[in-house]
Amino acid sequence: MKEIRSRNPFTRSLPYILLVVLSLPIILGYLWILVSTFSTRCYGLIPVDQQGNYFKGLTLSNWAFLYDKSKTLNASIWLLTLNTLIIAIGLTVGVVLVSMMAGYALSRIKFPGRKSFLSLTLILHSFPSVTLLIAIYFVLRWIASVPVIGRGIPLIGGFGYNTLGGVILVSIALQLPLGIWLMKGFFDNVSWDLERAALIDGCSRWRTWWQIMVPQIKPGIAALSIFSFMEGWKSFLIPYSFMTSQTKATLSTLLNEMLSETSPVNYGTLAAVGLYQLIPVLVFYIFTQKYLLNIFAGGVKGTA
Amino acid sequence: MQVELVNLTKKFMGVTAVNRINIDIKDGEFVAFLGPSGCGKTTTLLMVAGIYKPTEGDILFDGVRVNHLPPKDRDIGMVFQSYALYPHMSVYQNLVFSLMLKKRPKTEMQAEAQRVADIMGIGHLLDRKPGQLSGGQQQRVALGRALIKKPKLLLFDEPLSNLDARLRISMRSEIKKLQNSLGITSIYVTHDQIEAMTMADRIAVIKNGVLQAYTEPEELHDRPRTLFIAEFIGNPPMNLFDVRLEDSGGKMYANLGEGIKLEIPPSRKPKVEPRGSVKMGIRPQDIIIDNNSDLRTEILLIEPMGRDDLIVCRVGNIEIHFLVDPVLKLKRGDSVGLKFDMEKAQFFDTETEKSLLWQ
Amino acid sequence: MKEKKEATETKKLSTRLEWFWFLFPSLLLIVLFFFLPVIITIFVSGTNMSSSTGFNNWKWIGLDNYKMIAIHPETPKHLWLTVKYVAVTLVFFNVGMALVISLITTHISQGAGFFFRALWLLPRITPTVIYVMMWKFLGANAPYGVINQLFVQPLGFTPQDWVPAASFLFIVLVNGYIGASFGMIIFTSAIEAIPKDIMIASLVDGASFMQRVRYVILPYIKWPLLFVTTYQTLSLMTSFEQILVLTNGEFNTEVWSLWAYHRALNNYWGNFQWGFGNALAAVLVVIGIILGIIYMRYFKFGELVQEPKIET
Repeated sequence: MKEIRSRNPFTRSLPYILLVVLSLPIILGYLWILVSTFSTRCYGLIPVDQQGNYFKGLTLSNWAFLYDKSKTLNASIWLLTLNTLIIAIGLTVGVVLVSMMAGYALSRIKFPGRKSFLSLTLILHSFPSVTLLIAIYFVLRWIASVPVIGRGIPLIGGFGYNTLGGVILVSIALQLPLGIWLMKGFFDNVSWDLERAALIDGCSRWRTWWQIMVPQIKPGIAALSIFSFMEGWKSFLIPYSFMTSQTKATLSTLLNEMLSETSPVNYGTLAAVGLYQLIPVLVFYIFTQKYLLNIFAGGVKGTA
Repeated sequence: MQVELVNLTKKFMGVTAVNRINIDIKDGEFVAFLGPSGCGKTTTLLMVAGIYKPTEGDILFDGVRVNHLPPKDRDIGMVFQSYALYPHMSVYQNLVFSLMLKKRPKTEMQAEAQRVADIMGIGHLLDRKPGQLSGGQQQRVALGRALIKKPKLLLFDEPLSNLDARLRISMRSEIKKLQNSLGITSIYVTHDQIEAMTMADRIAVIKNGVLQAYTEPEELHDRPRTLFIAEFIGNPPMNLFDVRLEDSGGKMYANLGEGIKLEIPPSRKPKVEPRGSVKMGIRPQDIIIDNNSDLRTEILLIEPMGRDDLIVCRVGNIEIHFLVDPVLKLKRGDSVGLKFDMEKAQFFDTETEKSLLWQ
Repeated sequence: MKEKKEATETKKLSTRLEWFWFLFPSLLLIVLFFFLPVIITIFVSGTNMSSSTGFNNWKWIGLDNYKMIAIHPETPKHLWLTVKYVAVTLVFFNVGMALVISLITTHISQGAGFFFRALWLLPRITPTVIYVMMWKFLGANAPYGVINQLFVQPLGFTPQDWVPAASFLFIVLVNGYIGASFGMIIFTSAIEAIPKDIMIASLVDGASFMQRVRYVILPYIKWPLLFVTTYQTLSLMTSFEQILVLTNGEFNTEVWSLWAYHRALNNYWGNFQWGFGNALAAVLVVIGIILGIIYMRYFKFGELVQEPKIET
């Protein structure tokens, strides 16, 4: 695209000025998180000490939550990190695996009802799934009543209401339409001859899928994995709604609880916990932006 | 292996791609499927491979119906236009993949890979990935991958179209030699008539999903049974003229109009009564310059083709193409006399497009 | 006719139903968490089920829940708020701001354009609670709040806690700054897909930037514009996560979807009105299904589906 060229320095810098002004809340907001994380208190963007002296009170004490439970409403930050990690990894593995299977079948195998399934995926893709949250609560209650599967599995608890597994399952399901559509698109672009060669060499469809096709769509798998991990890591509404007996279930629910605490909130700790949760996402984001752009625009190709 | 296609038909969502094709292939024979793109030749091949299921008709291998046999149980090897090598595997892994699936011992895989690599001359490439190879090398690996299984039937889907012209010519003779020495029954799909003519024992010409002819290359060239074959086979293409057949004094003449009237020798007299008007065909190499001839014309265009020059000239509305030796140094505007070798002429019924000479 | 032998059928039933097993996990999840919930939503909306009736003592009450919505004194308030909130956020941010950002970032140096687009994506990837917390402290009362410190006090106005004071503005801002990035990505790729020749031709013709936008770019991105508008209308109408964390519906910010959520799953009184809540949700579900089908039309669906070229 052509750059705007003008001799007038004001006209030339106008778009930048406009951009900065429009982006101001984002810039200030993230700046605030960064500053207050390392300050005793913050007046706006300026760190102050207990007495309110400007530019004093830089400290690392906000990070005490890493070992001091009392800073985080007596919840162990490591347990919550583990829970959050389990949700993120469970969601990633689940979404990628299930979407890879369905995406392959939809892209490559002839079967009755293929087109209907595809249009269903597309409708679900745009479907406002949060409206189903109330009903999903019923489904999870029902799963919880199933022996073993409901609430008898170590680590994730089970797949019912009030378990990590249940949260993972719902998250996978809600993420699935996007995942399937995306994986189908990546499979669509693999050469047919390659798959034919594998079938002639003696592969079953399963082996073709796993050994020949899946390695061809690695970029797509990487993108979907990163995206799902980030979604799982930051997920709030589903754990908040379906793990009510453990309100400190994940980092997000902990933060929410600290935030809505009526007693004087320790802003510094809050910001530090927030940054603690944000860092992995940011690192991921910086290194994988290009892939992620594909996902954010996921499945939109073909509209233009 | 002997292959038989009986009334083979394929429809895609109601559209007929292959229409009742009947072909039998003898054991060890090299058959080419020849036709313009989209004529159904690759679809036919993929049905033989088991990738597509026939809508109607049968495929028989050694007399056994294999319609429902999956590709892996058909004992076939296939070479693709795009090579279709597995990009994430080394050349060695590509070669032995089919053996690995059959859980053959490692020593056997290595020995077989060595054998095939020697035949194809790719021994030094075994550790590379397909992406690091040239097109020609990739095609050799693809051929090796097809051969390692010792298949009873080899299928080629336009394997040379992605190579440059020189490589294509050398690979052509190499494949033919290989097929001869191994004696594997082969089907070779191509749109290039020179490839088909030089390599195949028999050629199946396919147009719009219908088998036009299935015979030896010489037969196809010298005795085309339909107008389509006459036009499609031979380079440069055959001259075709609308003619009126006239009897006079026991002799038969072909009247081209514009005052050109040619005597038809007894050997080329149409054996069938035409239903409509008649087209006469004659190849450019069967028209020679004869300055004693009554048929005189002026040279309109000269296209040097290397060994010959292709001359275009016109008599009235009739355009005539013929070949001359470049040493004659003819120039545009020169006046020449032409003689048609009527012993080589072909006659077709314009309506049925069938030959009036060969049935 | 020669006698034909038939090759032994090696294909087992399991191989013929391969496609089913590939789809099985997805089907299961879709049935459990989409189909079943839609049916439950509609079914329960016809009952008086609540935490006081439990799952056993509920009664079938037909359309009473819907009648209750119609006469409920709070309905007009929530409805008007939802319409206002969706319309304002959509026009000014999810479409308007998205268009402005993508237009500017495609016309400045590539590096800077990339940087600013990355910046605008940050809210989308940031955990909701952190993101909302950020906004709370931007608007917090003096001496903590950034807005008070940088703008209100220097200009001599009285500082205050802005989230309750300007609650509507804040729910629009909080959602708008996330929502804008979706349109931004789609518009950017659409603008970059405009043939260079056409852009150059318009430059040669002496079109100003605004003329170029009006006569060249906008006509070219008509479809993406329509798509973003429908898609985002739907998601704005039904998403309430940010509002839940920011105000929990206080200060007159209880939009329709949050109302349903509070009534059915999460309220201070612990009386969960599943029947009524589901009726509120069902209204959105129906709108969602209708818009979803319209939205599918925008995807030239036929063009996206190729026939499998393997039939084993």
